[in-house]
Formats: sequence, C-alpha cells, structure tokens
Amino acid sequence: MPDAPRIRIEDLDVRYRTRDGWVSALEGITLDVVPRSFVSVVGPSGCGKTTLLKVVSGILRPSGGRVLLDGGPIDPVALAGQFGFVFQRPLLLPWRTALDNVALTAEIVQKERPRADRLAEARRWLELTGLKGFEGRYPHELSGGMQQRVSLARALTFRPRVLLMDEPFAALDEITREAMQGELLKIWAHIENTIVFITHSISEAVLLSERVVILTPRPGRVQEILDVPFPRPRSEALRGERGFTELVEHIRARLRVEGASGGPQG
Amino acid sequence: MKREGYLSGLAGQAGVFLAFFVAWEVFVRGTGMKEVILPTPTATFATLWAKRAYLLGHTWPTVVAIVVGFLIAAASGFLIAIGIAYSRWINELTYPFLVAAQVVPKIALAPLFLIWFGVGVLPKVVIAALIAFFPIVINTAKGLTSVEPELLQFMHSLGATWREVFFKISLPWALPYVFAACKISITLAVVGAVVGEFIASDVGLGYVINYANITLETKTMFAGLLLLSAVGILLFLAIVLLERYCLSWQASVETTPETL
Repeated sequence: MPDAPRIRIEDLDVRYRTRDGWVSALEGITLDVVPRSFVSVVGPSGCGKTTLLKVVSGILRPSGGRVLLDGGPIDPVALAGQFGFVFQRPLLLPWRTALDNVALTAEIVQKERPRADRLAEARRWLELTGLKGFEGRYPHELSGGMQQRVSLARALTFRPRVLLMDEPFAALDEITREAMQGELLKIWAHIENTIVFITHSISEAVLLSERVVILTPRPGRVQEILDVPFPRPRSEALRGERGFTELVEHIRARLRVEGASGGPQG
Repeated sequence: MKREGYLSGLAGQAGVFLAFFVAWEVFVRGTGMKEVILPTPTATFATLWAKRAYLLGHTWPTVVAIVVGFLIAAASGFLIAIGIAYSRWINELTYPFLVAAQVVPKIALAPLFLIWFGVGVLPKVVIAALIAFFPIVINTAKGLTSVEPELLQFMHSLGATWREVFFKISLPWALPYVFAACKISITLAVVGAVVGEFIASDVGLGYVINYANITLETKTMFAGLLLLSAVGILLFLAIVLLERYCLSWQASVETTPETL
C-alpha cells in the first residue's frame, strides 16, 4: 500500500473552555496526509489552524476523534523527535551562533550521535538553506529572512518524519517572503519530510503545496480539499501560469463566501 | 572607531566627576563654609591619604559583609525564583509573603538584629542579604518564565528532559535578567552592610563614618564616604565585567559601551 497515510486525522473535535462556556475550535476534521507530500491549510484568522498543528504534534489533546501517525496513536513520549517546527517568528536562541542553533534539535534527539557529526549535519543544512558562510553569526547579526532559514534548518537537521510550519513567512516583508517561498521549493526537492503548512496566503498555499485544505471560520471545519496539479519540482515561474491564477481565484471565492456568511472574521 | 568612542566615553565620565569636585571646592571656598560643616574635596582627599592605614583597615570588613550578604541573597534568591517559576503552588504561596516582607523597611530592623546577633559580622551580613534579596527573586523568576512557550513546546515535542530545557534554554534565557538584578542588589547590599555597621559594629566604614560624625571629624566622615562609594563602584564594575564575560554574545548588540 504505497499511499498509506503518514498522518490520518479522523473526525477531530477540539473544544476549549472560556468564561462564556465551551467554544468549539475545530469540528469534524477528517484528513489524510500522504508521506512526502506537502499539504497547506488555509483559512481566515482564528479558524483553529494553529490548534490543528498542536493536536497533530501531540501538544494538545483532542476533545474528540483521533490522530494517527503512520497508523499509530500520537503519544508524546513514543513520538519524541518526529516533528520539526517552524513558527511565525524564528525563536532562535540569541546566545547561540547560527550553527549551534541548528544543532540544538539534534543535541536533544540524537544524543548518541557524536557531536562533530551533528555539527557537520547542521552545517550541511545551513548550506542547503543558503546560509553557507554565516555559521558563526549570532541571530541578531542576521536579517529576518536569514533567521527564518536558520529556524528551518533547525527543524530539518534531525530528520523528523513531519515538518510542521505555522505561517513561517507571515512576518517577513513581501520581497523576502517570495524569496523564501522559492527557497522552500528548492529545499523541498532535497528532503523526504511530509510537510503540513499553515498559511493565510492563498497564493503561497497554491505555489508550494500539492493539496490545499480550506477551513471555515470558527469553528474550523474542512470546507474543501483541493489537489494542486502542478508537477514537482516547481519554481516561482508557476505564479504566471493561468492554472495558478484560476486556482487562487477559486480558493479566494470559497473563503469569501464562507467569510460573508460565517460571521465575524478575526 | 569603537575603541575611540569607548575612550571618549570614559573621558566624559571622568569629566563629570571632576566637574562635581570642582563645583564642590568652589562652593565651599566661595561661601566660606566651616570645615566641620562641609570640608573641601582637597581637604577630604588629604585626610583620606593621611589616615589611609586606619581607613583601609576598616574597608576590608565592610567589603566582606557586602560580598557575603550579596552572595547569600543571590544564591537563596535564585533558588526561590526557580521554585516560583516552576511551581504554581510555591508561586501562589510565597509571593504575597515576599511582597509583604519587602515592604517592611529592613533598615528599621537593624536595632532588632543588634539584640538578636550582638555586635559583629552577623547583623550587617543579615541586613545586607535581606535588602539585596528581593530584586534577585523577582527578576530571576521573571526571566525564567519569559521563555517563549512555543519554543518550550518544540523542545518537549523533541523529548527534551526538564534538565535539558532548563540548562539549554531557560537558564541562559534568564541570565540577562539575573545580571540586571545583581547590579541593583550589589548597591543595596552596600546600604545594608553600612546600616548594620552604624548600629551593631565596631569595625567597618559604616562604623568609621558614624564615629567621625559623633566626634565632629567631618573630614574623616567624608573620607569614609568617598571610600565607601569607591567600594560600591568597584563591586558594581565587578558584576558588569562578569556579565560581559557570561553574556559575551551580547557584546555586539550594545551600541554605547559607556552605559553600564
């Protein structure tokens, strides 16, 4: 069965308690993510995208339904080191150089591996993310885009099964953001990780991913799952193609309809 | 360029001190003020030199009291801060008490410590430690709890142990806060030790200042004060140097080397 899902989300509910009673963040989410695939989740702010990532990685327990990783339940202890995270902010350690920041994750996950080995691997990832020559720099000596590349290298160096990216380029300026998208496409050609990518940029989702999951605003439900047919490897040239623009427009229309009828948007 | 800026900064700082002393000298001479009320800085420095053996002999006990009191405050404050940062139970239980204890003026307890501990090293060390303790607790706890929660979640998802998270993330994250607190606390410890010496000691600069005051030897009193501020400045600088060493990664962040 070549297409056994890496991540299977079954009828997932997440509710949490507020002063006004129970609020439903996610409702009836069902989704399969195939190994090595790139899935984007788009939706208006506050539709529970980040909550979804937390449940998938075992940080948050679902109120109903279940999440399976390679057929097994998500157990925080047994699954330690299976997920790499990239957040909206780089969240690097300011007292560590770029290289040591990248090596941090491997220090924890691959303790048995010799230090020199881990550093060599970290160096390789810095090179892949286009930061050769910046190994000895501290985070404050790097630009926002470069910091985010370090963050990406840190999430990949210990070879997690799944890479979870939570609006990783949202805090960057537009020019840097587009450069980073192109960079991620290049890196994607080299890696075997399954990627779940959260974004509120429609064109970013279409450019990068093979499937786009559209969520509704509060509570987040799966509105539509779209296959993006463009072949790998992709490049930024895709932005100019007709099919690309059509897909973007389609998703935009879906989000707008739902936004208009679905109450306030954050 | 940077070196030049640093040197001109130092020159500027020395200039402020010089201007202060010159203004003081001019004021005393201009108003014809009596030496017993306010001696000139030149007379004060002359006394400092003439009585150097006596004054330096009394400096050492004060330095010991300040440093020991500060170290006790730093160590105990750090441990309690860890408790406050990681245990909601300890946090909620101890915080009101800490604040209540802090608003009690420690200086007012000095006469009590004379009764409890007698004349000697103990009362001044205790006052110095008590007065220096609070900033360490508050700042360290704040530093430890200010680590980005997302980063902690990531570390936990990697299977990091409590120890790894503490030593690789939280502790270095809190260090700038700890050093900021130490700079406040060391100056408070100077105050604490001197107050202790005012009341319950027959050695130390606090004792010298108090005794000179009673005997109307105002020049000696001012000499003691100068020496005391020199001690305070040196101890403060020692912490700044330690901070520079421990947080050397910050070196290039600082744009004005003259800000301590």
